[in-house]
Amino acid sequence: MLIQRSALFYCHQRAGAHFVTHHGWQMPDVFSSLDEEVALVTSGVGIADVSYRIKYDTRIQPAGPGWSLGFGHFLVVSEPPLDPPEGATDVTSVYADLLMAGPFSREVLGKLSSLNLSNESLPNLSCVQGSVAHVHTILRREDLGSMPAFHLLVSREYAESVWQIILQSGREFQANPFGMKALQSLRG
Amino acid sequence: MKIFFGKREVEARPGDTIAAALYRSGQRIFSRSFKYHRPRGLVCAAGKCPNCMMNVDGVPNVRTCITPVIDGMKVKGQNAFPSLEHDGLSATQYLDRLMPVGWYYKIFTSRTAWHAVEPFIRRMAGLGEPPAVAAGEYEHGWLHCDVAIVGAGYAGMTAALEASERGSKVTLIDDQSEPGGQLLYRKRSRSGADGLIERLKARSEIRVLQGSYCFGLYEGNLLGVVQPAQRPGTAERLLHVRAGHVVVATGAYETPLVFPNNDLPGVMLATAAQRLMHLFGLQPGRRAVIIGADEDRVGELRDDFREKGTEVVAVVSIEDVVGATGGSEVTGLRCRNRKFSCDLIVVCGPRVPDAGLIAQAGGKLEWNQLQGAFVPTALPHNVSVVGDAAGETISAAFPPPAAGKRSFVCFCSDVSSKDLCDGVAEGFDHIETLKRYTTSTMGPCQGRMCQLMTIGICAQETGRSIADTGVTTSRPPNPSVTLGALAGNSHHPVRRTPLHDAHEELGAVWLDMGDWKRPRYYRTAVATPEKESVQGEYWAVRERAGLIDVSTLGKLDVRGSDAGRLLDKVYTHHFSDLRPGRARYALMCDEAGVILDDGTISRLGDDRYFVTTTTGNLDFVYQWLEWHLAETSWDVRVTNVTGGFGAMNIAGPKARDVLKKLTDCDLSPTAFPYMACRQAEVSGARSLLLRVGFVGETGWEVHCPAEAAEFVWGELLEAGREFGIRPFGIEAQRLLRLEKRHLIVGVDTDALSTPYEADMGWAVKLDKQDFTGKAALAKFASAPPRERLVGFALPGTNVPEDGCAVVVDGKLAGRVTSSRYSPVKQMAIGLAWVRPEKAREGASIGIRQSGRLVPASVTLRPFYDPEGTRLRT
Repeated sequence: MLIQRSALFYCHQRAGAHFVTHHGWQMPDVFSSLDEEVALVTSGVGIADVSYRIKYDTRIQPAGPGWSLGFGHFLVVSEPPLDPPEGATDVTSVYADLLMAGPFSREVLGKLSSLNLSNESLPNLSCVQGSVAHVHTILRREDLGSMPAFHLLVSREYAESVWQIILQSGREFQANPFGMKALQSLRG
Repeated sequence: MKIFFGKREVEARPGDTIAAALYRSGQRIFSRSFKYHRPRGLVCAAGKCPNCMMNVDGVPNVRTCITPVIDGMKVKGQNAFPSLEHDGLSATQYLDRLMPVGWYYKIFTSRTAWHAVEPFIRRMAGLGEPPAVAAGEYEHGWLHCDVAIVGAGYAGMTAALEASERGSKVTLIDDQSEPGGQLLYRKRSRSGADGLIERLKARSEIRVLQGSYCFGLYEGNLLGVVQPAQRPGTAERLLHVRAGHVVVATGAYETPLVFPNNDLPGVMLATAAQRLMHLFGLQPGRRAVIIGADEDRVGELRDDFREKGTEVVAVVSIEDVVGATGGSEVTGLRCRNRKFSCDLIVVCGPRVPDAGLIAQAGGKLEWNQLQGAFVPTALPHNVSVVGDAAGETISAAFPPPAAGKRSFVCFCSDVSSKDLCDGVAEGFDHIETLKRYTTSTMGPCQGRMCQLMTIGICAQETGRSIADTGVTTSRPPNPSVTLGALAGNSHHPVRRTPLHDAHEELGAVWLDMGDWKRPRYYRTAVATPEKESVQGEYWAVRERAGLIDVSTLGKLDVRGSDAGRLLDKVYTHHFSDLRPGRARYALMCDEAGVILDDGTISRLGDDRYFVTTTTGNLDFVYQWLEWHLAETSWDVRVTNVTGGFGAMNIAGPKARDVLKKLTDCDLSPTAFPYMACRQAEVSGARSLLLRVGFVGETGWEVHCPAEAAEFVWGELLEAGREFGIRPFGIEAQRLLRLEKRHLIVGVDTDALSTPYEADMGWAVKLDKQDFTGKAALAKFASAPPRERLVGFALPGTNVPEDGCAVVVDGKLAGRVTSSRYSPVKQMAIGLAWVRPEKAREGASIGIRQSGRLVPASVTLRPFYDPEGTRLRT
């Protein structure tokens, strides 16, 4: 049986993750406990690996919420299952998708990137590209309710590096990873 | 709270700076001067002068007068032998005849003399020891705002409140620990400022950065700001503040007056005495003499001293001063008519607008005779200056500096007024050359204390006006910044292939290739040396099967109806005529015909190609393709899919047997010939199989989704176990390809290599319509080559190093680019650039190896399987 793992599998394993198979991918379900993870995110900052999400690159304006990468250039990111339409390039495997959430997520990103992440410059559901921790990143704000949250898409080979730098830079805000369970709970 | 000062424990009160706590404990000497080791005490108490710099918790040159106390800090003096109180090197001041201005240009005219004394001078004239370990984790941060205001004095706070009330997002940067500027320590400045500090604190929208100093104002309103440590274990944080508008409200600072012994501990600026009294509740001295002429100012000081119980012995004007007296501290002041005994001399010096940032940003400073100051005139776009920094309340006549070798102008590097006069007399009469020759204004205070006086003396000595003399250039950093803060954290991104942890498990010894980590070889048992491991991996590929991770190859998905047209344009071969299911070697040249990159291009469908590039050139190739597309309206989309595929090359006579256990794809030579490609499942993973042969054996590159790569890799190793498969690393791969005489772009070629010279003319199709580099290549095709890339072999096990010189008839005639010991040939082989006349089978060349000339013979054929039969079976 085919085993599919994100770039951060061993990172999660070393952090004591309990895994669950999610659309064929082995994803971390829980690291410490659901309550603790949710509490850390809502009071500080947390980061989750959602690399299993389907992503495709297209030149045709998508019907749903597309991430605009440039003039006539879009990225569509969606929960599986989803078949990319004809002509689109499947980039699911190309990008690791890191979700940073919590009241202090802007502060942590402000230590790693020169991007302006203020409300005015990056309203909810908008997308920007730039360098985060010296790695080219597609960044999209997708607040979880009233809590700021950002998806960071980095090329898969950089994922572990970026993940670790985020956790390190977020120490002053008790940055911790959170699993699929906590994510579902935060999404309500 | 307590701090440790040398061996002494010093009590500190909340709100104290280090210097305040030390002053309260009776400490008067805070540093020793740079050149003469004269004792120095507090002068500005505001972080502007160099006198209070000490080593704090291992960090040198900390301005203790503005650094808040943290319980348990370890503080010590610097540049003093053996102690601040007793410094034997202070005897050097009596040898000052031997050390006139510019003395080491005059004395050490021979190189040997300078090298002999340099270590001693460096030690004597130090500015503290560099820390052995970093003070903590340095961080960077970015901040965006509508208005950034530098300085939280009256003007800065007013500006911040106004801008904020108008709805702007405001950041206020202040280098003191509390906002207020002189309102905090000068009672008379408070009229009209009632409640300003409270209003500022109440307005939470304003982001106030206390204890943070702005060291540079750069293009596009970028401010460099250093923030103090934000939490234990960290050091300073450097903030890049980008502001729509910058308001410079840095105020004005007081500067010293020049008279003999003006540097003795106990001689301080009036503002410094007021700071000590009002900010820290200190009594700066018992008996004070005030040097100053402004009645208001003197009256203000008298009030302050009366409150603190300090007796004002006399008020004198600078014209009457003959000099201060004292040894390690001031004991009196001699004036023309009489002498006063005192332990404190308070100097009301000229006030200078702190306009360094304006000058850095490109603004102009012009001398205003009425104000006695250089004031900003032409301001850069979106920068304004308010308050004292704009010269608003400045009015001071230029005070006459006293001549003398103990009348110090520059405290940072012990430059006296005599030194400056001598400098001018020696011909350095332009302010910028005088600055460089005497080093006045070039020390840690960045000219704050001495700039005005230096300019004044230069003007006086040359008979020019101050306006004509001009102002020295102000550059960032202003003030100084630690290198750690500029460097920031040590985050360096690392690229890991999807098989990284699998390699780790197999005992990989890593090789850094750019940001990538690649296995150099696999250590099978801990003691196995590299040579044996590589040989083992080599023979596995030649005799059985080997598996290597090639995920670092650049991978581009090129699709659209004009995809072939684009590839025809940028690569030298034909690609629009490539049949789906076939692959072709691809060589890319620039307009001058120089090789840029190589790889393979596979046609997956009518409108879809899969391009691989070398590991290091991916970003370049991607941009090159995009650049060529930019001028067209072609239907092509190039997507970088490098990270999305795990790629592994399985090669060796048993490769087919291994692979066919995991796939339904027909791998027979007829169904899947050399240079063909197929999309098929391998162990259940949708994969792209390319039959290519970099190492010269039957083999396939398996490109599968990265998330499945580790699984597929494991399955391949498991399936190959019965055939003796081994994972192999870069080192074995390099040896295997060298036996096939396959070149590596960037290793065997350089910035001048052309395909014809590199023996790759077969990959250039001049019959194509137009392509990048065609004109140059057409010329090269018929012209005699300048040099040629050939193979060489030499007997024995001694392998020449890369870069060894090729020598023919005693003359340099080329260079070795790659070389290894060939197990099949049992001799050293390699690739080398040689003169064209030597590029024939069997020609003899010499290779200089560790000083010896070794004979080698040239070959134009692969060393291994020259017909390529093994590759095609």
